[in-house]
Amino acid sequence: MASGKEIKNKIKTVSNTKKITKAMQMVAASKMKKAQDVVASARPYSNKIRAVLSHLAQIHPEYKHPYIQHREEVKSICAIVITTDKGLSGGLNGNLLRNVLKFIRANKEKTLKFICIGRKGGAFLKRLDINIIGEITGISEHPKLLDLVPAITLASKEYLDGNVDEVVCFYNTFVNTMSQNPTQSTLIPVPIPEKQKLDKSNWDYLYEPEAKDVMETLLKRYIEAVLYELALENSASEQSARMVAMKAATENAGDIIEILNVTYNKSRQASITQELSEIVAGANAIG
Amino acid sequence: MASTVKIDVVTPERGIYSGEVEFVVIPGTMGELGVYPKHAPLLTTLQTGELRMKLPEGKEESIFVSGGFCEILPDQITVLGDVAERADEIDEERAQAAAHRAEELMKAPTEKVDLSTAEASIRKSSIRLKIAQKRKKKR
Repeated sequence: MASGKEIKNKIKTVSNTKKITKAMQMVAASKMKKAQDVVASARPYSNKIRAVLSHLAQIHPEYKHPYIQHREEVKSICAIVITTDKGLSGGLNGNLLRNVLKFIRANKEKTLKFICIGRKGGAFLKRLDINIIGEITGISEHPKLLDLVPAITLASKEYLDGNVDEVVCFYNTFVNTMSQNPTQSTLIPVPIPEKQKLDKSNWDYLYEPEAKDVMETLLKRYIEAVLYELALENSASEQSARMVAMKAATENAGDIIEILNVTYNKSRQASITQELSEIVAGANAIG
Repeated sequence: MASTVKIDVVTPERGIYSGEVEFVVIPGTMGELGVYPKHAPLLTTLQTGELRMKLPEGKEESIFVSGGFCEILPDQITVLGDVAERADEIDEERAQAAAHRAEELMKAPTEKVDLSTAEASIRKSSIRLKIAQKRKKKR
């Protein structure tokens, strides 16, 4: 049995760790609240732009911008992988990257290109033998639209040049505080949002300047808005996953401290008993 | 009572304004558009400018917008700006400083910043200042 002092030290170490994980849990909880607020405040824009797009799709079923045109044969795919910059967030990144691996295996015969957002995904994917065409780091906690624009520009350029036939995105959906889902969704070609009913079916917009220019801006903004939304979603997932992970760590530390305390008391009692019996034995020997 | 139309002004980051208006002036790329309720459906891209709204109580409100586009339907106007600020959110000092910086750049253009960017920046800050000052006068 370890001596009293050793166990004391161990208890101290574990309680320090517990303090840290507890603090991290609280920090993550408050950051999660903030991240959720950001998601909520970005929602009006994405809802509105979705509505406009669905109106357009209804009145212009024949007009095909490259962004909404599905290519018959998908030979190559560009994947944008959104992960966190920091670890200590449970299985969040691991689960997502497992999905990415599955995706790589399923599309072996296609050309794959990757854009990594977040340090963790970048570090992981670099070890694989794959083509990474872009990386953005240092934004996972507070994604800003401007930070994401380079990724979108790169991906849409590849798409328009015909180098890739599809752009997909991997990220974590925020279901609730306890669960986050690794998800894959298609960015380009733009999936047309579900149709909302309009009163009249036979009408068209007036366009200023040209229909094509407006359409182009609209679709570009739409793709940006969607990626921004996904990045926000991922950051909310990050904080909630970290909060849960740290909560578990705090609880585990508490359990370990309890066990150590019991061991410490046992060893203390054992040493007292031993001393007593030694004294008694000594007294008997003299007596 | 004059008829009104619902207007929503949003940016990717947040919703800016939502409410009923009697009349609104929108800074489209091809020129300013005055819109009354029951306007024909129209889709336009936006340029940097002032969005002026006439509210039902006779009040007027201005919003700074830059870039993005706008959908006009007979009963609903949606302004999806890249950047938008309400008059009371405009930081006058910052706009002034930005204007100064841009003017300096105009005098001595560097390789990184060309004249058109500087010009655009001056335009933006002058519109911001105009909106902010108009609001002060009203008070």
